[in-house]
Amino acid sequence: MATKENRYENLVTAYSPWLYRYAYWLSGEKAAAEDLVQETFLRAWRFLDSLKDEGSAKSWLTTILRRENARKYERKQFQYSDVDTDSIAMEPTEFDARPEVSALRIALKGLPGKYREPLVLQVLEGYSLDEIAHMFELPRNTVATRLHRARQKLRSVLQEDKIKHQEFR
Amino acid sequence: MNCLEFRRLKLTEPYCVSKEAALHASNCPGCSRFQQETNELDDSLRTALTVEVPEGLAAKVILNQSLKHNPRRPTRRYWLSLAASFLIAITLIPFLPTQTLDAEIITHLDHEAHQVHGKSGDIDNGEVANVLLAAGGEINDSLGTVTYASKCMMDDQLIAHFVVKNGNETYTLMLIPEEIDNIIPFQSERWHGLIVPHAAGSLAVIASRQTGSSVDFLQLAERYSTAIKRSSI
Repeated sequence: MATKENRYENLVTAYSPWLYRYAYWLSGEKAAAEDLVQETFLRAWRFLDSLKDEGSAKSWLTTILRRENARKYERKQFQYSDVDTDSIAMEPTEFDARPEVSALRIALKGLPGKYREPLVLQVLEGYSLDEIAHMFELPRNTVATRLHRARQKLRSVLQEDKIKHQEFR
Repeated sequence: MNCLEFRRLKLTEPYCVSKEAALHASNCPGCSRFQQETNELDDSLRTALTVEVPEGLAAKVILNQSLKHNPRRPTRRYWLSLAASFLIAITLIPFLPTQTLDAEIITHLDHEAHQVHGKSGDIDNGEVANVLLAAGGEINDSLGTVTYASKCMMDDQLIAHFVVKNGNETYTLMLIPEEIDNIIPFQSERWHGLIVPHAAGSLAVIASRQTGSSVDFLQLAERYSTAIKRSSI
């Protein structure tokens, strides 16, 4: 039978990359994302006995992370007006630096958290609408509306970006 | 299914494949193009959302947990030790350092930061050995490029203070006489690092927080612990 330490290490190894990516898009900063992951796993250790089904570990950890973020970083979350577009443009040293991807990244950071969060869960991890609604404790239609608006906003950003590039040519 | 329903579905659940939706797309060129654009948007989104995960993140999380939840059951012996320690502490308080080792390091770095940044050029091995010797150390293996070497006083202890280059990154090393029992990770607004036990003392590896959060301090500590040995003199 796996010890608590073994169970914990397996969870950390399996889910820390995903949680870091999610935390990054919640907090908007690398250092804050790493802190969030650390805090999430410290809390997970304390309540590990309450996780009965290993299959639901990912959504359990995601929920812990969301609550940690709400508790610690909600007031500091990115506001569109706060986004330093110059600093974001510096980041692509480790990312895909195509213009449309950069434009999307800036637009993503400018999206209100309530639109960005479900989108990240759906696109990065393939969560279904029902799973996201369950995790957020929201009606399915509310999540659907948020995803709809998020994609509409991003589509318009991409279209504007294309027009801009055509004008420059 | 009409165009409005189809487009709403594509914007909320683009990966949902239903016969109705497929049939509509095959009969409606406008919605077919909309579907293609939405798929392209999601492909670009997936790329945009992908961020590099700091190297060694899982190891750091596990280390952090083991340091914070070191299992200790309070026994009678534990309470007696605690009482004895308390008495000793009361007696020695006027002579004890007022800060913990990690806080001392941060204070020292903040105080000395301008000197470190002001110094440039490679320090030769002779000077490195000279500084190390003063703090009770010897070169066992190369430290790589050393751009700063200084004998410093930190809480009445003579320490060896170096700035070294490792690849494109710059790290601060401190050879400290104070002994510690466990690894101590620490961070402040400007610095983060790790103090590890090192023979009859300790070794600190520190990076500026501007370096990013993906520093593998354990690996660095292992490397520099091997490169520096305690002097046999």
